[in-house]
Amino acid sequence: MRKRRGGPRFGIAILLTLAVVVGFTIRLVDIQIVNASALTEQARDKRALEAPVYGARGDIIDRNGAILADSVERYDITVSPRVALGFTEMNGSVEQALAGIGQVTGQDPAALMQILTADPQSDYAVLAKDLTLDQYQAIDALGIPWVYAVRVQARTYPNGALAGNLIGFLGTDEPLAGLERSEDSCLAAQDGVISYERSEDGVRIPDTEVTEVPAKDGGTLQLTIDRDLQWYVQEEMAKAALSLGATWAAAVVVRISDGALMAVTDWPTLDPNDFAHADPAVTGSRAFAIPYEPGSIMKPITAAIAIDSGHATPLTQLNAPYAMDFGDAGIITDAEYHNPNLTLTGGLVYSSNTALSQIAGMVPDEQRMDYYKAFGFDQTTEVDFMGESAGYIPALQDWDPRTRLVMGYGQALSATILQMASAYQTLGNDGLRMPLKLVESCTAADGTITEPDAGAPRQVVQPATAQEVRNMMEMVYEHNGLWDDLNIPGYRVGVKSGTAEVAENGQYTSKSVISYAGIAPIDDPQYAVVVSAGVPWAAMSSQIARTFHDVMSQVLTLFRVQPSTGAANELPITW
Amino acid sequence: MSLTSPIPLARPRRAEPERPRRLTEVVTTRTQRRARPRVLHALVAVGGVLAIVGAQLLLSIAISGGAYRISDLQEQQRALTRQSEDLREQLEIAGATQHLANAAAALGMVPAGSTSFLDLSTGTVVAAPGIPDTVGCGGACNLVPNLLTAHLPVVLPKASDGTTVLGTPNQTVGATAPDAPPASTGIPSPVTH
Repeated sequence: MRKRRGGPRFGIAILLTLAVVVGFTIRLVDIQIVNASALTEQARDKRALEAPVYGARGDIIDRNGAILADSVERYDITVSPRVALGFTEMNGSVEQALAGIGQVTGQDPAALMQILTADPQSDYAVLAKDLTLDQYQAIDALGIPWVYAVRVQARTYPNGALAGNLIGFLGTDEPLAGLERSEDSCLAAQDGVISYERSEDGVRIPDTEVTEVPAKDGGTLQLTIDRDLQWYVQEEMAKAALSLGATWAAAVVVRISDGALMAVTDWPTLDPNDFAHADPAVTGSRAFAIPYEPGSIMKPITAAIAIDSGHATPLTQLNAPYAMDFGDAGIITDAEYHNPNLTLTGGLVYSSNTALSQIAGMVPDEQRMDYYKAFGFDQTTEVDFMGESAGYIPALQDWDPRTRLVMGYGQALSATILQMASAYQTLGNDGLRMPLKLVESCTAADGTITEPDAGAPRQVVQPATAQEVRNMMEMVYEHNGLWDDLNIPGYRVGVKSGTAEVAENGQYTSKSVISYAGIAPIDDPQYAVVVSAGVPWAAMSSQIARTFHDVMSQVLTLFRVQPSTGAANELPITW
Repeated sequence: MSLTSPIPLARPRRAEPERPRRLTEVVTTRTQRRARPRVLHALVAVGGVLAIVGAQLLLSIAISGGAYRISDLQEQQRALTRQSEDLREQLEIAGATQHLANAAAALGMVPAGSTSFLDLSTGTVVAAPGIPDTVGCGGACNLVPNLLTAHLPVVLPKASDGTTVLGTPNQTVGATAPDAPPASTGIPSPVTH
């Protein structure tokens, strides 16, 4: 008898099979479609390893592209003491290997051994840090099986302390001072991530490298500083400071047409390559950070204010004896005796405090305050340097009778050397104050160039006023008795000297700040220079005249400034 | 096989019940016989599959060989990039202002004074007296310290026998100031042709 096909058993079998097929299909769809991406991810995670890739921090360059700060690769030699101490016979003993490393790095093999034995069970110790490529290759050639080199990013400053006051330095994790810190948004690189797959035995599988996040190099920061000039000025200021026995010295060279800072020096300063050993007091820029009473280099500003506000002219006749009683304001004296019948020009030539006190007193306080602010005093400059000081002009209600007069010759107020340079730039640029500029531009890795927004120029005094003040400053250059020190043949120059007493705890001491400020060429002003030195005894400004001359000569020579034509417009000094 | 064998023994197959032999037999026709697959076909098919597998293997070897080569070359490129960076760094340091100044001083150069001008109307040279050397170190004062160039020897011009002379490393001016080059007399200078 033939069995009928399909009975209940057959049906059940079919159903079971179908159920299994459906089950598998659902699971298949689940794996291949629904959870596909998550599972692929998991699988890859099991095979793939991620590794960081480092972007290089941007360079800092001077106006001509000379590198002031540079990113380089260094190598740390790491070791697992546990493994190393277990290795005794392969490629020689541990002692031999350490002696080899010591020969390359200059370390004492015994000290290296101490690193290894400090914690013999540890899996990580650093034998040597920051090795150069040559040193790394030398150690690599030793063929020691238990050392591993780790590539690290490092920073070098090929020119050492040149502009070290401005550039600042990097700490282990972050920039700590100067432009390195304040311009970090331009310089910083972004690290990326790559992943690669490795085989069962840990070998990297070729062609599996995937860039997950590309590393981004930092931008190049171009300064307005000129490396060669900065070096020269730093050397000159150091010479001046050493021969004066000064506690500090600073200088600023500013281009008159656009307020670009060509050199900003501090003495003493640090070598950023060796900041760890630097005196913490010099790890910034004193020029920006510490204001001082400028003394008589303020007098041309006082004269400009009085002339521009219509209260005086270069020929205003003054009775300015050596000592003068100003009533409520007390007695004001000059540094030396001179003919009391001075014009305002004569007041500048003889640097007469009594003359400039009278001139300062002519201008209403509010008006003077407005001029001071317009010149850029009592506020930080557009450079906005780290830790920059705003200087100090007393609030109007604090102007007692003496204060309002002595401010005319640069006491009872304070300014940074940058603010003084900016004021002289204003006088040189026909009264148009250009924002001070230290950073020229930031060129990102993709080539986009951004220039910092420095703010708008400001007409502080009328062009005619500025020209008259320059004319008076040329008279100072010619007639203040230091012609042999100051004379720069071929160029017409305008200068003003300053000797300020240093106040400590409200009392003027015998310490002094001596300065020279000037503009050249006077017929077509190109550069303004201010040099100052803090001296722990009563020095005279004439002692720094020669330094001003040398710096200004170098500026005119280096930048190929065309020699002056014509002669000075002689102004009467006395009447 | 012994009973202690870990492999489970296969059950003996149940014997098929014998069916009565049929009287008629199905005989294949000639065409049917001809249509049967031949050994040749089988060989071709299997051979083809083997050839494809072999070719794929060779291709894959070639590709991974290429991948290893790329990897090698990339490694080489990285090493060369590193070397060029290293050389660039050394060049930067050799070109450091302090090092150049010392090299110049070693050659007998001194810092220039003010610019001098020839006044054509009077036929005279107008110039200020030179800058006094207040610290007495000429051009090699090293008042702007640089850790990186401190131990870099200054290369002096070749001696008469053609050997390169290495000068003393750059020194910082201090209690014992380095010998300043004589400013006015006997300036040592390289022989020029």
